Amino acid sequence: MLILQRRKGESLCIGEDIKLTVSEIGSDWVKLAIDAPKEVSILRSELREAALENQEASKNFSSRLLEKLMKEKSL
Amino acid sequence: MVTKTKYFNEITYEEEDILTIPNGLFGFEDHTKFLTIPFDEENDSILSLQSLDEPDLSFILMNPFQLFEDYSPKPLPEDLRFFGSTDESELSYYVLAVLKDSLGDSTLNLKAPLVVNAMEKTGKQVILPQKEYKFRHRFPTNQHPKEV
Repeated sequence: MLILQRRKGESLCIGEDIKLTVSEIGSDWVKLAIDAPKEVSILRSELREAALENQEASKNFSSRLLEKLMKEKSL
Repeated sequence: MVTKTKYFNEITYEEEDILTIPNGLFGFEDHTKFLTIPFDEENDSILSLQSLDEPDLSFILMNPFQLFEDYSPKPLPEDLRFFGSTDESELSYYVLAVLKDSLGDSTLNLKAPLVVNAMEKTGKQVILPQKEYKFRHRFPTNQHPKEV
């Protein structure tokens, strides 16, 4: 994990093709400008996490557990 | 209309039963049409969110308020905008469950609920800005169903 400090207007180069610039700084937020080829996917990390979690949710599971849950809920 | 489902074999449904999720779910953006099928006809606490685009795809939805009495989701304004002029209090919330082999290993996604306008039969999965909600919450251990 690399930690760097940048001021407003300063940039970072990631690999050959990606440039990240701090465009604005607020009290509890930062505005980032990202220059990257369009095939590079740029996502807020919570979107990636949400997609992975949905992936887990779509998997098969024990039907015994489903029965157990249904019984509990109808108390 | 008839469809094959993951948990209920073949079922019949009407056009007005369809829940439309125009943006799909995160990671499943191509799936926009679903049916919500309760596992128990007598109560709505566990449902199958069955994709009409793919018979083998179904998510388990649960009612978060029954499990977590204090759950108070506050979606971002841009997410609420999807529902137009609908009053926020008219929206329903369901959470996706990740079920494993035991309840102890299973989790509920309180961070990214499915928000539904039951009248219009439209929905959107949103990510709540609130830090207290995570993508994985353990099921509450309940002696009494309503207790958290």
